[in-house]
Amino acid sequence: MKEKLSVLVIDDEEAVRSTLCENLESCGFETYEATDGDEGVEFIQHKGRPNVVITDIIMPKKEGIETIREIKRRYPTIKLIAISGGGRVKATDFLALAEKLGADAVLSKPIDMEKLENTILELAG
Amino acid sequence: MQQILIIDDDAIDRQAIKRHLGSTGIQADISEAESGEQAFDILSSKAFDVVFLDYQLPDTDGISLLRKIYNPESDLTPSPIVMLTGQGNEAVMADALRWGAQDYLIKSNISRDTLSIASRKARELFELKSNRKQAEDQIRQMQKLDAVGLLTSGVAHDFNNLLTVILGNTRLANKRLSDENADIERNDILKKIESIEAAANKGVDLVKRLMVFTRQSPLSNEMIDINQTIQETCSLVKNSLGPMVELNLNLCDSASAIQADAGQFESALINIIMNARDAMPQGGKLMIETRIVELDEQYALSCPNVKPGNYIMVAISDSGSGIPREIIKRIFDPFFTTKSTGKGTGLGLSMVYGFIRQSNGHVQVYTEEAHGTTFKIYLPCKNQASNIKQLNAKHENELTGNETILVVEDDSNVSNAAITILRYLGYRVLHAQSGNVGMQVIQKAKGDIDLILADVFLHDSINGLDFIDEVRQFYPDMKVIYTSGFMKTMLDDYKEINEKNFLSKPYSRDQLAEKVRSVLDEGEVSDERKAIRTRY
Repeated sequence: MKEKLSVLVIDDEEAVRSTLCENLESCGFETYEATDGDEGVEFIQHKGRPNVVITDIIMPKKEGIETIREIKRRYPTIKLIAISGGGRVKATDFLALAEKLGADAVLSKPIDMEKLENTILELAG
Repeated sequence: MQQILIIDDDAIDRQAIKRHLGSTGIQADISEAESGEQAFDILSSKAFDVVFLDYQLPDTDGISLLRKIYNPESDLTPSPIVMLTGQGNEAVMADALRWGAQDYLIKSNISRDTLSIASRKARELFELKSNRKQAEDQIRQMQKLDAVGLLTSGVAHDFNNLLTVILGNTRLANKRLSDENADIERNDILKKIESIEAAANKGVDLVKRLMVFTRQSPLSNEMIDINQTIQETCSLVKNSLGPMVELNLNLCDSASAIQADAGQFESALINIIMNARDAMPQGGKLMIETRIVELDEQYALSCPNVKPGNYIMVAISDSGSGIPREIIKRIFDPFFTTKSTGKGTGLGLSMVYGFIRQSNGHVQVYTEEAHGTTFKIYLPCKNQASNIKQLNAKHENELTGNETILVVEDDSNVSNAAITILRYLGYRVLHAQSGNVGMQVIQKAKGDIDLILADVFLHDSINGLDFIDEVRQFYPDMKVIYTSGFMKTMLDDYKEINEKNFLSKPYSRDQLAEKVRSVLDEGEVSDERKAIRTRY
């Protein structure tokens, strides 16, 4: 049997995190959660590398842009998807920046789950 | 055709007015009232171009009637009013103007010319005032919408998160219910629906808060819980701040209620917070603090609009770029803006200022380029007697002294106040406007100085901290109090400043007296220090 693809979801909003994870699990992915960039990087360090990391961009502690940069530098093989619901600057601005810094794909919130699943499969499947 | 109302119980006087009006050639439709009660009914149901109101009425007097129809909100009566009084009744004339009449006439002076001038003046003043009121309302609303614009991106972020939850859970529930082979677990589906409901309710709450904020309502003067309002406003703006701005609250429990317009207070906060954000494009610290403070007589002397008393202070501090000195005086001017077109109307801070003045409050801005800015808003405490610790007479006696104190301060208002207070308390006071002059004063005094009260940021000079460093090379035990308009929390990077040796401006006489005494009395002057003093 083919091994499940593992996805780490980094988002500071609990409800968003669990919704994403449940949806992904229902499609056969294995999911893990982290509440901010620091926790996400720590997870990768100690608990193993997921195939894909999905990270929100605007978060209180370590924000997404920094997280993307760090993960890409330390673990270049992990595929990265940046998500954002907008904020100070238009969402797309942040997402463009995320792409520039090495995110393999960017999606804006509200997240289209099907699109998210397809993106994961395209990147890591 | 002008609509005119004459309120006078004397038929002959009414006749005379009508005759004079007729001779002016004005086409008028004239109504008459013989009593206050009758006049009140007519005035409540119809607007007039001008109303002539006699002071003496059978059932009331003209001022009482004015007070009854006067609307303090608009500072207007329903129609323009010319008050008619007897000779020498200045008190009535003044009262009439106070309660919304535009002009007055002495009855013995009534003629064609005086009537036509008075009625024109009344009409013009009335119109001017009602237009101004409308314009002010419009500006206030514009300003509010401006603040909403600033909020929108943050609110969009919140909404997109909520929609992600709603759509995601709907899809899951859908998927499970439509899979004919799957075992449907009721609890699992219910959980999904609960998540959807919770997210939707959060959305409702968010919209409600936005609606409250944008509501077009007149200034109200309600009791508001200042800490709660700050917390709610912050939850509304937090996502507009961006991830790089660290927002912290330090609210004083006893700073509870003030009387002010809640919406205006929120707008004022949002405006200052958004300016703070824009001053920190690379991110930084934003701190909101509340305190109960006393602005005393001494302080009121240097600020003409301040009444001495207890105030709730709301300090909003950022660690941003600071406001350049050349524009600091203009920041509260209407339409003054440093932002590019489309980014701000320049009404924000002028509205903040207007709100504070209307609430009998006071605002101070302390700013330092490359260090940050603190806005301190003072709003009067409802209960003046409560809240703040009062020093008793005995205590005050213990706070005097005869030591020598050097005040290093470049703001002459502040230094004058400090010097006056310290001299009053018995101290010998020396003053320097800059660090360099301070060094000269110390050398001249051969170090015979017991305490230095040093401003942290001195313009055109080394700063207070470097100055003290230099002083301590010669007098290592020199006692020091640092002062600054910034809150202590914004000076945490300076390790030499601590709660014990720091005094935040503006300070009251009691605060200064207490701080000076406590620093002077701390670890009494050692023999070693005396030896050093002799050596130099």
